Amino acid sequence: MITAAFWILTAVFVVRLYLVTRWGSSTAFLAAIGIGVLGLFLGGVVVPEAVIDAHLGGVNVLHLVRNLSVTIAVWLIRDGIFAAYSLDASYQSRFTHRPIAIVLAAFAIAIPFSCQRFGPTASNFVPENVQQLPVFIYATVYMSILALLAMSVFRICLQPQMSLPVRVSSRVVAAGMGLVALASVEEIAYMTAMHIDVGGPSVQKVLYVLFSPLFYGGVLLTSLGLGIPPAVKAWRRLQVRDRAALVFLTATLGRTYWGLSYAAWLASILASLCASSPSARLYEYIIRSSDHKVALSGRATPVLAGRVLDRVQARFDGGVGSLESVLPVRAAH
Amino acid sequence: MQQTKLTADTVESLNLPAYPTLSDLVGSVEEKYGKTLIFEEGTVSSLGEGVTGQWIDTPSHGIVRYLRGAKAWSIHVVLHELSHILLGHKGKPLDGLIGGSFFSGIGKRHGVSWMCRAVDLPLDEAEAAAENLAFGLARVLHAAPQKEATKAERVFGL
Repeated sequence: MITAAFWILTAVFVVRLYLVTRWGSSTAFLAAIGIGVLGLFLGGVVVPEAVIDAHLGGVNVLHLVRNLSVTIAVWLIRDGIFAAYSLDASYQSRFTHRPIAIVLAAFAIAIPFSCQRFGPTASNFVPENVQQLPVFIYATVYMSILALLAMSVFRICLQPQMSLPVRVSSRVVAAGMGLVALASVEEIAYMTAMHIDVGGPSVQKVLYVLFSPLFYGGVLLTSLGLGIPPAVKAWRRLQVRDRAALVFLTATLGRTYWGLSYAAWLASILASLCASSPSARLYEYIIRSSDHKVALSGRATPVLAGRVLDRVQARFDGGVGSLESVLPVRAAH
Repeated sequence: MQQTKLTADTVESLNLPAYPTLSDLVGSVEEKYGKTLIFEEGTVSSLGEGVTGQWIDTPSHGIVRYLRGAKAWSIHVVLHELSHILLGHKGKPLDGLIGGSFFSGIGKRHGVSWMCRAVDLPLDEAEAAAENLAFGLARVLHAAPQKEATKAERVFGL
Protein backbone atom coordinates (compact mmCIF):
# COMPACT_ATOMS: atom_id res chain seq x y z
CA MET A 1 0.00 0.00 0.00
CA ILE A 2 2.85 2.38 0.82
CA THR A 3 4.37 1.59 -2.58
CA ALA A 4 1.11 2.37 -4.37
CA ALA A 5 0.74 5.60 -2.37
CA PHE A 6 4.31 6.59 -3.23
CA TRP A 7 3.94 6.09 -6.96
CA ILE A 8 0.50 7.72 -7.13
CA LEU A 9 1.72 10.74 -5.17
CA THR A 10 4.83 10.93 -7.35
CA ALA A 11 2.66 10.88 -10.48
CA VAL A 12 0.40 13.57 -9.00
CA PHE A 13 3.48 15.66 -8.18
CA VAL A 14 4.88 15.37 -11.71
CA VAL A 15 1.52 16.22 -13.33
CA ARG A 16 0.96 19.16 -11.00
CA LEU A 17 4.48 20.43 -11.64
CA TYR A 18 3.81 20.23 -15.37
CA LEU A 19 0.50 22.08 -15.00
CA VAL A 20 2.19 24.80 -12.92
CA THR A 21 5.02 25.32 -15.41
CA ARG A 22 3.00 24.81 -18.60
CA TRP A 23 -0.43 26.24 -17.80
CA GLY A 24 0.26 28.39 -14.74
CA SER A 25 -1.83 26.34 -12.32
CA SER A 26 -1.87 27.06 -8.60
CA THR A 27 1.22 26.03 -6.64
CA ALA A 28 -0.86 25.58 -3.49
CA PHE A 29 -0.36 21.85 -3.00
CA LEU A 30 2.91 21.43 -4.84
CA ALA A 31 5.18 21.73 -1.78
CA ALA A 32 2.83 19.55 0.28
CA ILE A 33 2.86 16.81 -2.34
CA GLY A 34 6.62 17.11 -2.88
CA ILE A 35 7.33 16.74 0.83
CA GLY A 36 4.77 13.92 0.99
CA VAL A 37 6.67 12.11 -1.78
CA LEU A 38 9.88 12.59 0.21
CA GLY A 39 8.20 11.20 3.32
CA LEU A 40 6.99 8.10 1.48
CA PHE A 41 10.38 7.69 -0.20
CA LEU A 42 11.95 7.60 3.24
CA GLY A 43 9.65 4.69 4.00
CA GLY A 44 12.01 2.46 2.02
CA VAL A 45 9.84 2.13 -1.08
CA VAL A 46 12.67 2.56 -3.57
CA VAL A 47 15.83 2.48 -1.46
CA PRO A 48 15.90 0.26 1.68
CA GLU A 49 15.44 2.15 4.94
CA ALA A 50 18.74 0.82 6.30
CA VAL A 51 20.67 2.30 3.37
CA ILE A 52 19.08 5.73 3.78
CA ASP A 53 19.46 5.65 7.56
CA ALA A 54 23.13 4.73 7.18
CA HIS A 55 23.62 8.03 5.35
CA LEU A 56 21.99 9.82 8.29
CA GLY A 57 24.24 8.27 10.90
CA GLY A 58 22.67 4.83 11.23
CA VAL A 59 20.80 5.65 14.45
CA ASN A 60 17.18 5.82 13.21
CA VAL A 61 17.24 9.53 12.37
CA LEU A 62 15.46 8.45 9.19
CA HIS A 63 12.39 7.80 11.36
CA LEU A 64 12.41 11.39 12.62
CA VAL A 65 13.00 12.90 9.16
CA ARG A 66 10.17 10.82 7.68
CA ASN A 67 7.72 11.79 10.39
CA LEU A 68 8.65 15.46 10.16
CA SER A 69 8.12 15.26 6.37
CA VAL A 70 4.67 13.76 6.86
CA THR A 71 3.75 16.37 9.49
CA ILE A 72 4.87 19.27 7.30
CA ALA A 73 3.11 17.79 4.25
CA VAL A 74 -0.21 17.46 6.11
CA TRP A 75 0.18 20.98 7.53
CA LEU A 76 0.72 22.33 4.01
CA ILE A 77 -2.28 20.37 2.66
CA ARG A 78 -4.36 21.87 5.44
CA ASP A 79 -3.08 25.33 4.57
CA GLY A 80 -3.94 24.82 0.89
CA ILE A 81 -7.44 23.61 1.64
CA PHE A 82 -8.08 26.50 4.01
CA ALA A 83 -6.87 28.87 1.28
CA ALA A 84 -9.33 27.27 -1.15
CA TYR A 85 -12.34 27.25 1.15
CA SER A 86 -11.87 30.57 3.00
CA LEU A 87 -13.46 33.71 1.62
CA ASP A 88 -10.52 35.83 2.74
CA ALA A 89 -7.08 35.44 4.25
CA SER A 90 -8.23 36.01 7.84
CA TYR A 91 -7.61 32.34 8.74
CA GLN A 92 -3.89 33.01 8.31
CA SER A 93 -3.88 35.11 11.49
CA ARG A 94 -4.74 32.04 13.57
CA PHE A 95 -1.75 30.63 15.39
CA THR A 96 -1.96 27.14 13.92
CA HIS A 97 -1.74 28.57 10.40
CA ARG A 98 1.42 30.55 11.04
CA PRO A 99 4.76 29.03 10.02
CA ILE A 100 5.92 29.33 13.64
CA ALA A 101 3.30 26.73 14.58
CA ILE A 102 4.81 24.04 12.36
CA VAL A 103 8.32 25.00 13.50
CA LEU A 104 7.27 24.55 17.15
CA ALA A 105 5.55 21.27 16.27
CA ALA A 106 8.77 20.06 14.63
CA PHE A 107 10.71 20.93 17.78
CA ALA A 108 8.11 19.23 19.98
CA ILE A 109 8.64 16.06 17.96
CA ALA A 110 12.42 16.31 17.57
CA ILE A 111 13.37 17.18 21.16
CA PRO A 112 12.13 13.93 22.81
CA PHE A 113 13.54 11.98 19.86
CA SER A 114 16.98 13.45 20.53
CA CYS A 115 16.77 12.49 24.22
CA GLN A 116 16.61 8.72 23.59
CA ARG A 117 19.42 6.19 23.97
CA PHE A 118 20.30 5.88 20.27
CA GLY A 119 20.67 2.40 18.86
CA PRO A 120 21.42 0.92 15.44
CA THR A 121 18.94 1.12 12.57
CA ALA A 122 15.78 -0.81 13.47
CA SER A 123 13.18 -1.93 10.96
CA ASN A 124 10.51 -1.67 13.68
CA PHE A 125 11.81 1.37 15.49
CA VAL A 126 8.79 2.19 17.65
CA PRO A 127 7.88 -1.35 18.80
CA GLU A 128 11.52 -2.01 19.62
CA ASN A 129 12.13 1.25 21.47
CA VAL A 130 8.77 2.34 22.86
CA GLN A 131 9.79 1.24 26.35
CA GLN A 132 12.10 4.24 26.37
CA LEU A 133 10.14 7.22 27.71
CA PRO A 134 11.65 9.74 25.21
CA VAL A 135 10.70 7.48 22.27
CA PHE A 136 7.20 7.01 23.70
CA ILE A 137 6.81 10.79 24.12
CA TYR A 138 8.29 11.46 20.67
CA ALA A 139 5.97 9.05 18.91
CA THR A 140 2.94 10.12 20.94
CA VAL A 141 3.54 13.83 20.29
CA TYR A 142 4.02 13.13 16.57
CA MET A 143 0.87 11.04 16.32
CA SER A 144 -1.16 13.57 18.33
CA ILE A 145 -0.09 16.49 16.15
CA LEU A 146 -0.78 14.43 13.03
CA ALA A 147 -4.21 13.42 14.33
CA LEU A 148 -5.12 17.06 15.09
CA LEU A 149 -3.94 18.26 11.69
CA ALA A 150 -5.71 15.41 9.90
CA MET A 151 -8.95 16.09 11.79
CA SER A 152 -8.71 19.76 10.91
CA VAL A 153 -8.36 18.88 7.20
CA PHE A 154 -11.17 16.35 7.52
CA ARG A 155 -13.57 18.93 8.94
CA ILE A 156 -12.92 21.68 6.41
CA CYS A 157 -13.05 19.22 3.50
CA LEU A 158 -16.64 18.36 4.43
CA GLN A 159 -17.84 21.95 4.04
CA PRO A 160 -20.24 22.67 1.16
CA GLN A 161 -18.58 23.29 -2.17
CA MET A 162 -20.18 24.28 -5.48
CA SER A 163 -17.50 22.97 -7.82
CA LEU A 164 -17.93 19.26 -8.47
CA PRO A 165 -14.24 18.41 -9.08
CA VAL A 166 -13.23 20.32 -5.92
CA ARG A 167 -16.03 18.65 -3.97
CA VAL A 168 -15.04 15.16 -5.07
CA SER A 169 -11.36 15.88 -4.45
CA SER A 170 -12.13 17.28 -0.99
CA ARG A 171 -14.30 14.33 -0.03
CA VAL A 172 -11.62 11.83 -1.04
CA VAL A 173 -8.97 13.83 0.84
CA ALA A 174 -11.35 13.98 3.83
CA ALA A 175 -11.72 10.21 3.76
CA GLY A 176 -7.96 9.84 3.60
CA MET A 177 -7.34 12.27 6.42
CA GLY A 178 -10.05 10.60 8.49
CA LEU A 179 -8.18 7.31 8.17
CA VAL A 180 -4.88 8.99 9.04
CA ALA A 181 -6.45 10.51 12.16
CA LEU A 182 -7.92 7.15 13.11
CA ALA A 183 -4.58 5.43 12.54
CA SER A 184 -2.84 8.04 14.66
CA VAL A 185 -5.21 7.54 17.60
CA GLU A 186 -4.96 3.79 17.20
CA GLU A 187 -1.15 4.00 17.19
CA ILE A 188 -1.18 6.07 20.36
CA ALA A 189 -3.31 3.35 21.97
CA TYR A 190 -0.86 0.70 20.76
CA MET A 191 2.19 2.58 22.03
CA THR A 192 0.52 3.24 25.37
CA ALA A 193 -0.38 -0.43 25.71
CA MET A 194 3.20 -1.37 24.90
CA HIS A 195 4.77 1.27 27.12
CA ILE A 196 2.79 0.51 30.24
CA ASP A 197 2.34 -3.13 29.24
CA VAL A 198 -1.45 -3.47 29.33
CA GLY A 199 -3.90 -5.39 27.17
CA GLY A 200 -1.81 -8.46 26.64
CA PRO A 201 0.12 -9.58 23.52
CA SER A 202 -2.98 -10.40 21.46
CA VAL A 203 -4.51 -6.92 21.86
CA GLN A 204 -1.14 -5.33 21.23
CA LYS A 205 -0.71 -7.48 18.13
CA VAL A 206 -4.12 -6.46 16.77
CA LEU A 207 -3.39 -2.79 17.44
CA TYR A 208 -0.02 -3.12 15.73
CA VAL A 209 -1.44 -4.82 12.65
CA LEU A 210 -4.24 -2.26 12.27
CA PHE A 211 -1.96 0.74 11.91
CA SER A 212 -0.49 0.21 8.44
CA PRO A 213 -3.72 -0.36 6.47
CA LEU A 214 -5.39 2.58 8.21
CA PHE A 215 -2.48 4.99 7.88
CA TYR A 216 -1.28 4.11 4.40
CA GLY A 217 -4.85 3.65 3.18
CA GLY A 218 -5.40 7.23 4.33
CA VAL A 219 -2.24 8.42 2.58
CA LEU A 220 -3.33 6.58 -0.57
CA LEU A 221 -6.78 8.20 -0.55
CA THR A 222 -5.28 11.63 0.11
CA SER A 223 -2.90 11.15 -2.81
CA LEU A 224 -5.78 10.13 -5.06
CA GLY A 225 -7.89 13.07 -3.88
CA LEU A 226 -5.12 15.55 -4.64
CA GLY A 227 -4.72 13.93 -8.05
CA ILE A 228 -8.32 14.55 -9.11
CA PRO A 229 -8.09 18.30 -9.96
CA PRO A 230 -4.99 18.00 -12.20
CA ALA A 231 -6.57 14.99 -13.88
CA VAL A 232 -9.75 16.98 -14.55
CA LYS A 233 -7.72 19.95 -15.80
CA ALA A 234 -5.68 17.78 -18.15
CA TRP A 235 -8.90 16.10 -19.35
CA ARG A 236 -10.42 19.48 -20.15
CA ARG A 237 -7.35 21.03 -21.74
CA LEU A 238 -6.69 18.03 -23.92
CA GLN A 239 -10.41 17.84 -24.84
CA VAL A 240 -10.20 14.11 -24.38
CA ARG A 241 -13.86 13.43 -25.11
CA ASP A 242 -13.89 15.37 -28.39
CA ARG A 243 -10.53 13.91 -29.40
CA ALA A 244 -11.72 10.38 -28.75
CA ALA A 245 -14.93 10.98 -30.73
CA LEU A 246 -12.96 12.47 -33.62
CA VAL A 247 -10.50 9.59 -33.74
CA PHE A 248 -13.33 7.08 -33.53
CA LEU A 249 -15.36 8.72 -36.29
CA THR A 250 -12.33 9.06 -38.53
CA ALA A 251 -11.42 5.44 -37.93
CA THR A 252 -14.91 4.10 -38.54
CA LEU A 253 -16.26 6.46 -41.20
CA GLY A 254 -13.21 8.05 -42.84
CA ARG A 255 -12.84 5.49 -45.58
CA THR A 256 -16.58 5.04 -46.19
CA TYR A 257 -17.45 8.71 -46.42
CA TRP A 258 -14.33 10.12 -48.05
CA GLY A 259 -12.99 7.14 -49.91
CA LEU A 260 -9.56 7.67 -48.40
CA SER A 261 -6.68 5.41 -49.32
CA TYR A 262 -5.36 3.24 -46.51
CA ALA A 263 -2.32 5.50 -46.02
CA ALA A 264 -4.44 8.67 -46.10
CA TRP A 265 -6.87 7.10 -43.64
CA LEU A 266 -4.05 6.29 -41.21
CA ALA A 267 -2.67 9.81 -41.59
CA SER A 268 -6.15 11.18 -40.96
CA ILE A 269 -6.49 9.17 -37.75
CA LEU A 270 -3.11 10.43 -36.58
CA ALA A 271 -4.09 14.01 -37.44
CA SER A 272 -7.31 13.55 -35.45
CA LEU A 273 -5.32 12.36 -32.46
CA CYS A 274 -3.01 15.37 -32.59
CA ALA A 275 -5.60 17.98 -33.62
CA SER A 276 -5.04 21.34 -31.94
CA SER A 277 -8.77 21.99 -31.91
CA PRO A 278 -10.61 18.65 -31.96
CA SER A 279 -13.92 20.40 -31.37
CA ALA A 280 -13.62 22.43 -34.60
CA ARG A 281 -12.57 19.37 -36.58
CA LEU A 282 -15.36 17.36 -35.03
CA TYR A 283 -17.84 19.98 -36.21
CA GLU A 284 -16.38 19.78 -39.70
CA TYR A 285 -16.64 16.02 -39.55
CA ILE A 286 -20.24 16.16 -38.38
CA ILE A 287 -21.20 18.46 -41.23
CA ARG A 288 -19.44 16.34 -43.80
CA SER A 289 -20.95 13.20 -42.39
CA SER A 290 -24.41 14.74 -42.40
CA ASP A 291 -23.95 15.81 -46.01
CA HIS A 292 -23.39 12.21 -46.92
CA LYS A 293 -26.10 10.89 -44.65
CA VAL A 294 -28.75 13.34 -45.84
CA ALA A 295 -27.92 13.89 -49.47
CA LEU A 296 -26.28 10.69 -50.57
CA SER A 297 -28.34 7.72 -49.59
CA GLY A 298 -27.18 4.13 -49.62
CA ARG A 299 -24.06 4.60 -47.50
CA ALA A 300 -24.49 2.70 -44.29
CA THR A 301 -23.23 4.18 -41.04
CA PRO A 302 -22.14 1.65 -38.40
CA VAL A 303 -24.46 1.67 -35.40
CA LEU A 304 -21.85 2.77 -32.88
CA ALA A 305 -20.51 5.50 -35.17
CA GLY A 306 -24.10 6.66 -35.68
CA ARG A 307 -24.54 6.97 -31.95
CA VAL A 308 -21.35 8.98 -31.59
CA LEU A 309 -22.47 11.23 -34.45
CA ASP A 310 -25.85 11.74 -32.80
CA ARG A 311 -24.26 12.61 -29.46
CA VAL A 312 -21.87 15.11 -30.99
CA GLN A 313 -24.61 16.48 -33.21
CA ALA A 314 -26.81 17.02 -30.16
CA ARG A 315 -24.04 18.99 -28.50
CA PHE A 316 -23.67 21.32 -31.45
CA ASP A 317 -27.44 21.61 -31.82
CA GLY A 318 -27.65 22.84 -28.25
CA GLY A 319 -25.14 25.59 -28.82
CA VAL A 320 -26.92 27.74 -31.36
CA GLY A 321 -30.66 27.55 -30.76
CA SER A 322 -33.65 26.55 -32.80
CA LEU A 323 -33.81 27.68 -36.42
CA GLU A 324 -37.50 28.39 -36.09
CA SER A 325 -36.93 30.60 -33.08
CA VAL A 326 -34.19 32.70 -34.65
CA LEU A 327 -35.06 32.80 -38.32
CA PRO A 328 -38.14 34.10 -40.13
CA VAL A 329 -38.97 30.65 -41.50
CA ARG A 330 -41.77 29.97 -43.95
CA ALA A 331 -43.68 26.72 -43.83
CA ALA A 332 -42.01 23.88 -45.68
CA HIS A 333 -43.37 22.98 -49.06
CA MET B 1 -10.58 23.06 -42.36
CA GLN B 2 -7.88 25.69 -42.48
CA GLN B 3 -9.41 29.15 -42.22
CA THR B 4 -8.46 31.34 -45.19
CA LYS B 5 -7.50 35.01 -44.91
CA LEU B 6 -10.65 35.88 -46.83
CA THR B 7 -12.73 34.08 -44.21
CA ALA B 8 -10.90 35.76 -41.32
CA ASP B 9 -11.25 39.20 -42.91
CA THR B 10 -14.94 38.68 -43.70
CA VAL B 11 -15.76 37.48 -40.19
CA GLU B 12 -13.90 40.45 -38.72
CA SER B 13 -15.73 42.88 -40.99
CA LEU B 14 -19.07 41.79 -39.52
CA ASN B 15 -18.33 43.46 -36.16
CA LEU B 16 -20.23 40.75 -34.34
CA PRO B 17 -20.57 40.74 -30.54
CA ALA B 18 -18.19 38.50 -28.58
CA TYR B 19 -20.57 35.53 -28.51
CA PRO B 20 -23.09 36.18 -31.28
CA THR B 21 -26.32 34.30 -31.86
CA LEU B 22 -27.57 33.23 -35.25
CA SER B 23 -29.94 36.21 -35.31
CA ASP B 24 -27.02 38.56 -34.60
CA LEU B 25 -25.29 37.07 -37.60
CA VAL B 26 -28.35 37.24 -39.84
CA GLY B 27 -28.81 40.88 -38.83
CA SER B 28 -25.22 41.68 -39.81
CA VAL B 29 -25.57 39.89 -43.14
CA GLU B 30 -28.84 41.70 -43.91
CA GLU B 31 -27.11 44.99 -43.17
CA LYS B 32 -24.32 44.20 -45.62
CA TYR B 33 -26.72 42.73 -48.14
CA GLY B 34 -29.04 45.73 -47.95
CA LYS B 35 -32.14 43.53 -48.11
CA THR B 36 -34.12 41.38 -45.77
CA LEU B 37 -33.70 37.65 -45.80
CA ILE B 38 -36.43 35.05 -45.71
CA PHE B 39 -35.64 31.50 -44.72
CA GLU B 40 -37.47 28.49 -46.05
CA GLU B 41 -37.25 24.86 -45.16
CA GLY B 42 -36.95 22.85 -48.37
CA THR B 43 -37.13 19.24 -49.42
CA VAL B 44 -35.10 17.12 -51.82
CA SER B 45 -37.87 17.51 -54.41
CA SER B 46 -37.99 21.28 -54.12
CA LEU B 47 -34.20 21.81 -53.94
CA GLY B 48 -32.99 19.07 -56.23
CA GLU B 49 -31.03 15.87 -55.75
CA GLY B 50 -27.73 16.44 -53.97
CA VAL B 51 -28.58 20.05 -53.12
CA THR B 52 -28.72 20.98 -49.46
CA GLY B 53 -29.31 24.71 -49.64
CA GLN B 54 -30.07 27.54 -51.97
CA TRP B 55 -29.90 31.31 -51.98
CA ILE B 56 -32.23 33.11 -54.34
CA ASP B 57 -31.52 36.78 -54.83
CA THR B 58 -34.50 38.90 -55.83
CA PRO B 59 -34.56 42.68 -56.28
CA SER B 60 -36.47 43.18 -53.05
CA HIS B 61 -35.18 40.44 -50.73
CA GLY B 62 -33.17 37.28 -50.47
CA ILE B 63 -34.48 33.80 -49.89
CA VAL B 64 -32.39 31.18 -48.18
CA ARG B 65 -33.69 27.64 -48.52
CA TYR B 66 -32.21 24.80 -46.57
CA LEU B 67 -32.85 21.11 -46.50
CA ARG B 68 -34.53 19.75 -43.39
CA GLY B 69 -32.03 17.79 -41.30
CA ALA B 70 -30.20 17.83 -38.00
CA LYS B 71 -30.36 21.34 -36.60
CA ALA B 72 -26.63 22.05 -36.54
CA TRP B 73 -26.33 20.81 -40.06
CA SER B 74 -29.28 22.87 -41.32
CA ILE B 75 -27.74 25.91 -39.69
CA HIS B 76 -24.48 25.15 -41.44
CA VAL B 77 -26.31 25.05 -44.75
CA VAL B 78 -27.79 28.47 -43.92
CA LEU B 79 -24.30 29.73 -43.02
CA HIS B 80 -23.05 28.57 -46.39
CA GLU B 81 -25.73 30.55 -48.18
CA LEU B 82 -25.10 33.59 -46.01
CA SER B 83 -21.44 33.24 -46.95
CA HIS B 84 -22.30 33.58 -50.63
CA ILE B 85 -24.02 36.84 -49.82
CA LEU B 86 -21.13 38.08 -47.68
CA LEU B 87 -18.59 37.17 -50.37
CA GLY B 88 -20.60 39.14 -52.95
CA HIS B 89 -21.29 36.19 -55.20
CA LYS B 90 -23.68 37.13 -57.96
CA GLY B 91 -25.29 33.81 -58.56
CA LYS B 92 -26.58 32.22 -61.72
CA PRO B 93 -29.68 33.41 -63.63
CA LEU B 94 -32.80 31.70 -62.42
CA ASP B 95 -34.21 30.89 -65.87
CA GLY B 96 -34.91 27.24 -66.29
CA LEU B 97 -34.31 26.40 -62.64
CA ILE B 98 -36.81 24.38 -60.65
CA GLY B 99 -39.59 24.17 -63.15
CA GLY B 100 -42.47 23.94 -60.74
CA SER B 101 -41.39 26.50 -58.18
CA PHE B 102 -42.84 29.92 -57.48
CA PHE B 103 -39.80 31.60 -59.01
CA SER B 104 -39.68 29.62 -62.22
CA GLY B 105 -41.56 32.24 -64.16
CA ILE B 106 -39.72 35.30 -62.87
CA GLY B 107 -36.64 34.90 -65.04
CA LYS B 108 -33.49 36.86 -65.64
CA ARG B 109 -35.19 40.09 -66.60
CA HIS B 110 -36.08 40.74 -62.99
CA GLY B 111 -32.47 40.17 -61.90
CA VAL B 112 -33.25 37.02 -60.01
CA SER B 113 -30.28 34.71 -59.52
CA TRP B 114 -29.42 31.73 -57.35
CA MET B 115 -26.62 29.72 -55.81
CA CYS B 116 -26.83 26.40 -54.11
CA ARG B 117 -24.87 24.24 -51.71
CA ALA B 118 -24.33 20.90 -53.39
CA VAL B 119 -22.58 17.99 -51.77
CA ASP B 120 -20.66 17.11 -54.95
CA LEU B 121 -16.92 17.30 -54.51
CA PRO B 122 -14.63 18.91 -55.44
CA LEU B 123 -16.19 22.30 -54.92
CA ASP B 124 -15.54 25.08 -57.40
CA GLU B 125 -13.76 28.20 -56.21
CA ALA B 126 -16.85 30.15 -55.16
CA GLU B 127 -18.39 27.17 -53.35
CA ALA B 128 -15.11 26.37 -51.63
CA ALA B 129 -14.79 29.98 -50.44
CA ALA B 130 -18.39 29.97 -49.19
CA GLU B 131 -17.89 26.68 -47.39
CA ASN B 132 -14.69 27.92 -45.77
CA LEU B 133 -16.47 31.05 -44.57
CA ALA B 134 -19.40 28.93 -43.33
CA PHE B 135 -16.99 26.99 -41.11
CA GLY B 136 -15.47 30.27 -39.95
CA LEU B 137 -18.91 31.62 -39.05
CA ALA B 138 -19.82 28.36 -37.33
CA ARG B 139 -16.68 28.62 -35.21
CA VAL B 140 -17.76 32.10 -34.10
CA LEU B 141 -21.32 30.93 -33.40
CA HIS B 142 -20.27 27.89 -31.41
CA ALA B 143 -17.64 29.72 -29.36
CA ALA B 144 -18.65 29.64 -25.70
CA PRO B 145 -17.37 31.97 -23.01
CA GLN B 146 -14.83 30.34 -20.73
CA LYS B 147 -16.38 29.77 -17.33
CA GLU B 148 -14.32 31.63 -14.77
CA ALA B 149 -12.84 29.30 -12.18
CA THR B 150 -13.86 29.81 -8.56
CA LYS B 151 -11.23 30.52 -5.93
CA ALA B 152 -11.44 26.93 -4.70
CA GLU B 153 -10.97 25.60 -8.23
CA ARG B 154 -7.96 27.81 -8.82
CA VAL B 155 -6.31 26.75 -5.56
CA PHE B 156 -7.05 23.09 -6.21
CA GLY B 157 -5.30 23.47 -9.56
CA LEU B 158 -8.22 23.43 -12.00
